[in-house]
Order: sequence, then structure tokens, then C-alpha cells
Amino acid sequence: MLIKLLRSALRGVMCMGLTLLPVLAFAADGDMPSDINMPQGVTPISHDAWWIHMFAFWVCVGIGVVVFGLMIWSIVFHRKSAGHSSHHFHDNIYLEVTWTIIPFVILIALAIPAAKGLVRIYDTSEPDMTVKITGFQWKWQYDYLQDGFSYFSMLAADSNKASRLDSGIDPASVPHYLRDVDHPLVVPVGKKIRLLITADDVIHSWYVPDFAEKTDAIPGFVNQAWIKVEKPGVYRGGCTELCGRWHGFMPIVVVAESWDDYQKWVAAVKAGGGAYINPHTLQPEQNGSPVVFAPAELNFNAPTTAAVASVPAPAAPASRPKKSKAPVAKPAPATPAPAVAAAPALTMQTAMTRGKQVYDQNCAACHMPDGKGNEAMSVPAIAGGPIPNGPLAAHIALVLHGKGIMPAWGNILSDKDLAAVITYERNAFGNHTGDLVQPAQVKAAR
Amino acid sequence: MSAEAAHASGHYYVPHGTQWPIMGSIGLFTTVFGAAIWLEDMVFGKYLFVLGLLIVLGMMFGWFGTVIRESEGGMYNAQVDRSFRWGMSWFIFSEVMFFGAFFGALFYARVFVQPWLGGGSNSLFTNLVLWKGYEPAWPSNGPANVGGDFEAMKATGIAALNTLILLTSGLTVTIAHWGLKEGNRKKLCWFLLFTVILGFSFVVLQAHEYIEAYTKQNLTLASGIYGSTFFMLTGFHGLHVTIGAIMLTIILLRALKGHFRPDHHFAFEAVSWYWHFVDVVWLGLYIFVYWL
Amino acid sequence: MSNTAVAHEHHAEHPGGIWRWISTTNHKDIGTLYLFFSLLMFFVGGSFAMLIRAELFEPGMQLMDPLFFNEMTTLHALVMIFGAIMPAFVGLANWMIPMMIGAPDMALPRMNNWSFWLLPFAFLLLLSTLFMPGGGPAGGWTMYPPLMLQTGMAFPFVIFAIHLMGISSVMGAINVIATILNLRSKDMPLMKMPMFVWSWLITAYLLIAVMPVLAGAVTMMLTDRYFGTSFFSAAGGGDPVLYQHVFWFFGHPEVYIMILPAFGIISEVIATFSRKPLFGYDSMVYAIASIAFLSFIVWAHHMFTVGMPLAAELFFMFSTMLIAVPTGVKVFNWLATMWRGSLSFETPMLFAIAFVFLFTIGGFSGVMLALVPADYQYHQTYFVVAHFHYVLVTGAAFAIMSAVYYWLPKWTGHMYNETLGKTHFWLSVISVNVLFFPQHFLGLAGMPRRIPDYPVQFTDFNMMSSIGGFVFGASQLLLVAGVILCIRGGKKAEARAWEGAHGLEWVLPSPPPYHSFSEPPPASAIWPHPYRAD
Ligand code: HEA
Ligand code: HEA
Ligand code: CUA
Ligand SMILES: [Cu+2]
Repeated sequence: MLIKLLRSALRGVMCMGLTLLPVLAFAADGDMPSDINMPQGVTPISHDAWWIHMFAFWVCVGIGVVVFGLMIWSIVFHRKSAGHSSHHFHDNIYLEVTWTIIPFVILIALAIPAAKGLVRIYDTSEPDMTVKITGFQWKWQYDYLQDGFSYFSMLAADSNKASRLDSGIDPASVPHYLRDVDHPLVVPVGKKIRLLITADDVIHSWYVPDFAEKTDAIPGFVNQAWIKVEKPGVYRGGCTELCGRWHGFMPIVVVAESWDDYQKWVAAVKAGGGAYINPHTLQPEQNGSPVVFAPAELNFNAPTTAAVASVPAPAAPASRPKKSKAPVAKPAPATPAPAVAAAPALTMQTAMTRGKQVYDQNCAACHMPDGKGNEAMSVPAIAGGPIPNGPLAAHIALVLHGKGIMPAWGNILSDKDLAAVITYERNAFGNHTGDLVQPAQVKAAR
Repeated sequence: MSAEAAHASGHYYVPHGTQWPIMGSIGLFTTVFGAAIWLEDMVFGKYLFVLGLLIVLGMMFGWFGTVIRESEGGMYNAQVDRSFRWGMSWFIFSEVMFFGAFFGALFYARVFVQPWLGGGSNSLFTNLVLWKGYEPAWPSNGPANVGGDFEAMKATGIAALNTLILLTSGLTVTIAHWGLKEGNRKKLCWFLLFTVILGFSFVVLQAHEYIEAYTKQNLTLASGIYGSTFFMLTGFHGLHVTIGAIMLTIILLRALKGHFRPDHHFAFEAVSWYWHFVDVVWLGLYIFVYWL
Repeated sequence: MSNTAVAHEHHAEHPGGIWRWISTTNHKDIGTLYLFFSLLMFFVGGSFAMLIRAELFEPGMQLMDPLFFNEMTTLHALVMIFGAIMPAFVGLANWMIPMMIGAPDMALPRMNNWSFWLLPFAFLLLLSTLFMPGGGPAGGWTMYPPLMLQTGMAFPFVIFAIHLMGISSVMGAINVIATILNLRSKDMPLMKMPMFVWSWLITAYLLIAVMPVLAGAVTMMLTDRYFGTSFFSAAGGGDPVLYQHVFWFFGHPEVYIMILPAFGIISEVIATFSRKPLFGYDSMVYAIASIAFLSFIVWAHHMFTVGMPLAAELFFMFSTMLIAVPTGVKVFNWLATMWRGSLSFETPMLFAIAFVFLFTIGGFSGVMLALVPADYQYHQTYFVVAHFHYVLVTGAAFAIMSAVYYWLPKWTGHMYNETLGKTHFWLSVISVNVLFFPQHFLGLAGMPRRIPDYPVQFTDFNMMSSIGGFVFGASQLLLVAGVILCIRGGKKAEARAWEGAHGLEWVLPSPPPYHSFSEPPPASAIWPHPYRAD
């Protein structure tokens, strides 16, 4: 601890001497970028940002040296205690005009590259592919529009556990603490990828420092952004707009791969029957929510698609602002998981194990790991609660369709996971209904 | 000290201790506390709310009463009068800015949000992905048709009549002012009376318009952005008309009691400024809410 | 001349005890109330900051629930801005403006009382939310919907508290304008007013222009929640971003409301301790006016990532950058005022010099933030937090501390303890940099704001920052000690407590009489400037 402190103090001193050192430190992994400066990043935009940042920084240093230098000079040499007596000048029009014009010129020099960079950021035309990103409290949904599948990405379980109050787990022992997710976004390198960013509930913001990509996800509106990743690697970021209780706990992980590897991954996902495919191992993963397929009727951008306007009608979004009771423009809601084969029946034991996993991943954030709920947020307890101990149909309906801040899990989880978690809730935390819910029941209740 | 150095106004007026502000604070506190718990579904909030309003009213009676007594007692000089003038004009300016926020919301919704929802500017995908097929329009209750189909307000009918009423009332209050300055108290009182009557007729007509909207046009506060901006703008305006009309009534009563002198009648002027302000806001409303 | 006397019969005869303070219409009493209220709120807001820094000391959640952390962030900012900084400036205005312009009191003394006495009630409402079901407001001080709409029972209380604060500020501002324009000694033309008075005149306009807009924004949110309106919901044709536009139309001028009076103070203090007249008086006035004007057309620089059309981004980027020009004029003028003066370094001057250094650093990071491509990286990270604490803490708060030390002798009639003051200064200035400088690095390395827990790579700088924070917080106890000691005794202060001081307030004895100028002051007291040839 003391050593750590000393080290940081030392580093602080070095940082303040940063004004004299070009900043080089930068790690390709993205997890440990330079500790003191903006990363140069791996997209054209991030290079622009870095360049403008450094340019502005040196300009400020330059102005600072002059202004502070003169001030220090005055402090040292014009002291009364040094016997200096005051001169009574109080105006000089030439001087005043000069120091109005010089900053103005400097600002123009700053504005030009900044304006150029900005225009580039806004040029989302002619992408090679499009991914739709939807922010939820508190996870991301990635929707590969042209391949017709989507999945959720949320904080990795080990980080989640360690971050609980009094967890007793040292965050330093958790790999990529708070910067790891169950299902990363996978993208190809060297392709221009258009991101369509929106949100389901409140405003979020999708930020990956190495891409200099930060765009607010606004419910009811779709923002556009683009990235073109130059180097394969794992890039980490997080939500940067306050979105409630677990705002600090919805990281972003992007795996950038060669086009070939990316293609293999897509093929594997499509063949995977709803399992998320680990982009590194190409093995299916059982944790987290399943991949959901929607008919790939849209073709937002086959690699050659030119003008944005010629895009054919897009598919129904999987998520829509909750408020729309919508007679007007409401497209039919996406049917989740049509490609998933009818899930096999559950036994009590499999349901309880799977149910606990699903609960810890999805429900514990609000209903708490011990099922006691959260009074402060008006989240009811599962333990001894009226719904888990009441009629089964009502329980299933509530979980499927949500209510208030309770999300409609029907759009998010598979029948099997829903069945498991409902079973779990009815038989854990001191509840003893004995009910075993089957996926078919959930399906019927949809 | 030389006479030139003395203030033109002769002397400073400095009041001493006052109990009205603390009463006002307690009143406002009770009002908003009551309103807050009422909104959070605690019915007794209602009673606190009313109690608070009563306290505020009492404060206003007391405070204005004191000021009127001092003024009629000749304790105020031209300097105090000027302070009041500055105070009132900047208060009205702050009110203008308050309305500005709502007008701003209206323009923003019409000029920007509608086209964006329809896919304009850089919002193509807002339309393609979320609100497929939505066509920008005004009046609008949004792509989700929030609150259901409704019939929008027309620039003819009650709105036009109300415009006429307010404009006329602006004229009558000015004539009353001339009367006051000429020392013609009859003219003053009669034209003030006309103004008050016109003011309250406006309020009554607007109430009628609201009832029609709710019962016949299915136009409510919850009718999407159109209903929101319509009712918030005209509602706050109506509230100001009501307050203005009440203040005019008080001025009328004071005039009947023989208050005000041709050269010393700041209260009258303050209320008439306020009334003209309400008038101008209405013109903006008529043009941007009812007409265009 | 007898008719120039203040028209009241019983002179220093005012009720004693608490009722004196509740019923007072005296500008000094009310100024004192404001200043003590502000000090109290500085400690309340500061305690919240200490909790924030304690939780951020290490990665992992140690002390509180994330929701409570968000409440702390929100309330810390609201209390500091509306409870500490703004009332402090209003308190200084109350105390000093009548004395500086040769007036007996504020123009509307009863309303002055009300402006103050709304504040305790407003903060009672605001702080009571901490004990309500669902907790206090947790959406950040910017209170963006839809998140803010998820607030529990606290929601309407917060909104109404903001309404009350708004009413209070607007009344206070009206009073300042009426006082300056109407009660000024007739020998003092506008362009000879003290710079502090000028800065407040313009600040008052800003206040009247934007506080009602904030009231409008939160009112729309209130009706969205309770009465079914759709201002901020796309489904009904509204837009969550509309709130942000309205909020920042208030919010940006608001940050200048917190810095312009500081500019005024610094101009007074630097001139005094340089024993020179202020350099470039006229351009100082025009600079404040242009900053105020520009502040109305830059608001969306807080929203560069919300997806505005390109043209809007460009416009707001350019207009924001322009503000550096008039601000630069101010900095250079201060420098020229010091240049070839006869400087001495009493505590007020130390704070003023630190202000010029550190505010400029905050201004530099502001200009960097204005560059949109770079702001895509900085936005919502600790780089922004570092920026605004440099301008707010080492800017606004340091200026207030400078003012307090500068005018304490006038207020109390005693000199404060210089050793204590200097100790306070040096501890503060060192620790505040340990506190906020590393936050630049955290932000650049990608640490978002408003998070209660963070990846381990950010640990070192956070620890540094927290330690700096604790030391800075503890140092403020010295300020309180200094003030209390000075009230209770000390070396007798002369009327002109500082050798280089000029201006009407120094003509009055220390402490000044209950009604500052019961007779308009002689022209000779105003002009010519003691250090100025003309
Ligand atoms: C007192 C308060 C104060 C002041 C004075 C300022 C001053 C400035 N601020 Fe700051 N700002 C805040 C308080 C303040 N700010 C707050 C509270 C926030 C965050 C709100 C939130 O999100 O919660 C914020 C956020 C903020 C942002 C948004 C960042 C983001 O969220 O992404 C931006 C972006 O443009 C910005 C810019 C500026 C600029 C350009 C100035 C300029 O006025 C600075 C001008 C000064 C100088 C430049 C230094 C002196 C000049 C010279 C020596 C001349 C020569 C210099 C040059 C040519 C460069 N500020
Ligand atoms: C107006 C001015 C103002 C002032 C003066 C301060 C002062 C301080 N602020 Fe402030 N801060 C804001 C305005 C201000 N802040 C705003 C607008 C935000 C944004 C909020 C948002 O995101 O919505 C913010 C956010 C903010 C954050 C980011 C929180 C987050 O993003 O989650 C942090 C974190 O370090 C912080 C820290 C501090 C500290 C340590 C001080 C210190 O200077 C405080 C020092 C004072 C004291 C400590 C009190 C006095 C002493 C005692 C009580 C004695 C006891 C103490 C000890 C013995 C240690 N502030
Ligand atoms: Cu999602 Cu913050
Ligand atoms: Cu700003």
C-alpha cells in the first residue's frame, strides 16, 4: 500500500514533467493503454483525436510557458520586499489589441484540423457492414443486421461477484476487472463498420477509447457512428452516460479479427443453435443469454451497398421504447429465437442449477443475490415474495412481459432459461412451491 | 456637504425589519411540500398545498398592504419609485425567459424532432429502424399516436375572439392610464372596469375551450407533443392572465378608494406592464400555437 | 444636510436574538447570513465529496451502494453550485456593492430578505430527499431524463427545491441590478464603477435570463412524469435531447455566473496588492460583457456526442473556442496589472495569484474540450471532472476565499491571523493539485465519470486524488478557524485596511456603520484613483 502510494506519487511527478516528454506508452491489448495520456488508438478517427489532442496540448503548454513565465518573473522581480515601487501605467491600446488578435489566430489554427476531423467522424456513408447497438439497463445488445442474429453482452460473472459490497474478493485478482463481458462484440478488421446506436430505456453511451468512438444511445432515436479497426485485438471500454445504479458496470469488449476469422465466427454462430460462440476458440459458450435469430430480410450493407438511401426496408427492431402503445408505426415485434429448436424438458436439478446461473447473471442486480429485493429502488423481494409464491401463470407473465422498471425478459432470454429461472425463484431463497416449469409452458404463455 | 452632492431624491428610504418574507418562505415551502407528497399519492398533501397557498396569500396581503400604506403615506421618493420600476421590469423579463423555454420546446419539436422521426437530417435510421413509415406532420402526437387521434385547435373561433379580447383590454388599460394621468378618475375607473371584465371573459372562454378540447376533441395534456406544448403554453399563459386580472381588480378597488395620484402611481403602471406582457405572449401563442 | 440622512427614526436599534436575523432588511446582516449559509453548504457538499473520494480510494465497492454513490455525486454538485458558490457570491454582493457605490443599503431590502430566506427551505427540501424511500436524486446534477424520471419519491421534492432556488436567485439578481443602477453615487459613472460591481451587474443579467429557463426544463420533466406530457419521449413526438438543450441553455451561462464575480474579485485584489490601478479597465468591462454574450450561444458543447447534425456541431465548436479570446484579455490584463507593480503577498493576494494560474489551466482544458474530435475522447471522463474543478474550485472557490480574507478586516474590524491564513493557503493549493491534477490522466486513460468502482489500472491516480482530497478538505477547517478568530478579536483594522486598497468601501470605518452611507459620499472619495495620475 505504502509502496503503491509512493509509486503513484512518483508517477504523478513524472506526469507533471510530461510537458517535456513525448508520450509513447501504448499497449496494443487495449486493456492497459497509456496510463496518463489519450491512446492513439486503432481507427482513423482515434488518430485524428490523438493528433488534435496533442496539438492543442502543446499549444496550451506554449501559451502557459509565456503567461506563467511572465507572471513568475513579475512575482520574483516586482516585489515590494525587493524594493520595487509601482509604476502607474494602466492602458496600452496596442498591447491590448495584440493580445486579442494572437489568441484568435491560434484558435483558428486549432479549429481547422478539428473541423476536418469532425467532418470525418460524421461521414458514415458506404460502410461494409452495419451493427445495431442497443443500450439497456445494464447491458448491451448487438444486432448483426445483415446476418440476422443478435445477442446481449453484459458484465462478466467474476467481475460482477467481486464488485459486490463486501465481496471479500480482491479486484486485482480478477482478470480485466470491470472491463470484461460474457459475450464480446466481434468485428472484422479493415472494414468500415457502421454502428447504429440506440437505447431501450434510458440514455447510455457506447465508448471504446481505442476507437475514439463515443456516441450516445438515445431511446427513440438512432445515432450513427463508424469504426474501421486497423489491428486485430481485444478493445475494452464501457458505458459513459449515467444510466442508473449499475452504470459503472456495463463494460464493452470488442474482439477485432481478420475477415476470415470473422467469417468463421459468423458461420459458427449461425450453426450454433442459439449458443454464443467464443470468437477465440470458436467453441459454444453456455453462460449468459442466447443468441437470438431474426430473419435476415434486410440487407443493410452487403459489402458493396452504396448509398444509404437505397437500403431496403429494415427488419423489425428487437427492442422498442416501452412507451409506444403504438397503433401507428409499430412493426410486428421480433419473434425471439425462431431458429432455436424446441428446448428439451428440464429436470428439477438441471432447472435449479441453470436457474441459479440465469438469476445471478440477470436478476441479482436488482433483486439482489440473496433474493431480498431492494427497498431503496422499490424492487420487491423474491424471498417470500407474493409473486414467486403466488399463482404460476402470473409469475410467468410478469417475467415475460415486465412491469415498470422490470424488463420484459421474454425479449431477452430463451424459453429454457426463463423456465429455469422461474423454477429457481419458486424454489430458492426459502420459497417452496415445488413447481417445475418447462420451456413449453413459457412458450405457450408468450 | 454641498447641495449638489446630495441625492436628487433628497433622502434614502430604508425600511426596517419585516416579517413578511419569512411568512412567504414558510408558505411556499408548505405549498410545494404539499404538492410534492400529493403528487406522490399522499392525499393529505392536498390540504398542505391549500394551506400553503393561503399562507402565501396572507403574506401578499400583508406585504403589499404595508407597501401601499407606506406609499400612500408619502414615505417613498422618486428613487424608491425607480427601484420598483427596475424590479418590475426585470421580473417581467424573467417571465419572458420562462415562456421562452416552452416556446423553445415547441420550435424544437416542430422544426427538428418531427423531421428526425421521419428520417431527416442525420436521423435516417431513426425512421428506418424504430419508426418505420412515420411521416413528419404537425400537429403531431408522435409516431406512437400517444393519447389517440385528436382534433387540433383552430386559429378561428374562440382563439380569434380571445385575441380580440386581449388586444382590446390592452387598449382599455392604456385609456385608463390616460385618465389617471389627466386626473380624470371616472375615465380611470370605468376603463379599468372594462379591462377587468375583458380579462375575466378571456379566462372563461379559455376554460370553455379546454373543456371542449377534453370532451369533444380528445385533445388532452397527454396528446403527445402537440397536447403537451399546447396545454403547457396556453395553460401557463392562462394562469398569468388570471393573476393579471386579479391584480387589475385590486388596482380597480384601490382606484375606487381614491388611491394613486397623477404623478405617483407605480402600482398601476406595474400591473399594466404586466398586462401588456401577457398580451404580447398571447400574440406569440396565437401565431405559433394556433395559426401557423 | 439633514435631508440626505437615512429616513428612519431608531438608529442602531434592532431586535436581538434570532428574530433579528429572520426579519432583517439590512444588507450587511443579509450578506452575513448568505456567507454563513454558504460556508455550511460548502461543508455539506464537501462531506459528500469526501464520501465520493473515499469510495473511489480503491477499486471494489467498499462503503456504499452504487445508487447511493450516484446520490452523493448528484447532491454534491447541486449543493456546491446552488448552496455554496452562488450564495457566497450573493453574500459578497450584499455586503460590498452598497459600500462600493456609496449607497445606504440594497434597493429592495425586504425582497433581499426573502431572497435569502427561501434558500434554507429549498435546501431542506433537497437534502430531506436523502431520507426518502427510493433515496435522493441519483441522475447527476444535470438530471437528464429518462433516467431522472426513475427517481423515487424524491423526484418532486428536487424539482420544487430547484424552483425555490430559482426564485431566490432571480430576486437576488433583480435587487443587485436595481441597486447598482439606481442607488449609485451620482459621482460614479458606470465606467468608473469598481470591477466587482461591474462583474456582478452582468452576472445578474445572466441569472435573470437563465434561471427561469431551468425552471421551465424541470417543470416539463415534472409534467412528463405526472401528467402524461411527452416533451422528452420520442413515442409522443418529443425528444430526451430536448431536455439537454434547455438544461444547457441554462447550464452554460450558469458556469459563467459562477466565474464572473470571481473575475471581479480578482481584479480588485490584484490591483490592491500590486499597488497599481487595474490595467485596461475598459477592456476588462467589454471582456466580461462579451463572455456573457457568448455564453448564450455555446451551450451544446456539453452535447457533442448526442448526435446533433454536423452544422450544429461546427457552430458550437467555433463559438465555444471564441470565449478564450475575452477570457485571455482578462488574464493578460491581470498580468499587466502585476507587471512592474509593487507586489506584496498577503493571503488574499496568494489566493488571487493561485487563481490566475489554476483557472488558466482549467481554461486550457476547456479549450481542449471544445475541439470536438478530441471531446469524443474526453467527454464524460474524468478529464471533464478535472476541467471543471480547476475552474470551479481553484477558480470560483479560491476567488471567494481571496475575497473573504480581503474584506474580513472591513467586516469585522479586526485583521485575521496572517500565519493561519498563509498556512491555509499553502495546504490548500498543494493538496488541491494533488486532488485534481491526476484526474486529467485518469480521464485521458479512459476512466468515465459518475462511476463508483473502476478497473484496477486506474487505482494509483485515484488514491492520489483521494489523499489530496482528504487533505484539502481538512485544510478548510483552517479557513473556519481563521474566520472565527477574526470575528472574536485580533489586531484592530484601519479604515483602509490594505495599503494599496482604493474604493469607497475603504473610506468607511472598519467595521462600517449599520447603514453604509447614510449620506452620499463626497466625490473626492471616489476619484481620482489614489494610484492613478488622471
Ligand atoms: C466556472 C465554471 C466554468 C468555466 C469558467 C468554464 C470555462 C470553459 N469551459 Fe467548461 N465546464 C464547466 C465549468 C466551467 N467551464 C462545468 C461545470 C462543466 C461540466 C458540466 C457537467 O457535464 O457536469 C464544463 C464542461 C465543459 C465542456 C463539455 C465537456 C464535455 O462534457 O465533454 C466544454 C466543451 O467545450 C467546456 C469548455 C469550456 C471553455 C472553452 C471554457 C472557457 O471559458 C475557458 C477560457 C479560458 C482560457 C482559455 C484560459 C485563459 C486564456 C488565455 C491565457 C488566452 C489564450 C488561450 C488560448 C488561445 C487557448 N467546458
Ligand atoms: C461548485 C463547485 C464544486 C466544488 C467546490 C467541488 C468540490 C469538490 N469536488 Fe466536485 N463536483 C462538482 C462541483 C464542485 N465540486 C460538480 C458540478 C460535479 C459533477 C457532478 C455530476 O457528475 O453530476 C462534481 C463531481 C465531483 C466528482 C466526480 C464524481 C463522479 O463523477 O462520480 C468528484 C470526485 O472526486 C468530486 C470531488 C470534489 C472534491 C474532493 C471537492 C473538494 O474541493 C471539496 C472540499 C471541501 C470539503 C471537504 C468540505 C470542508 C471540510 C470538511 C467537511 C471537514 C471534514 C473533512 C475532512 C477531515 C477530510 N466532485
Ligand atoms: Cu449505461 Cu451508463
Ligand atoms: Cu459549458
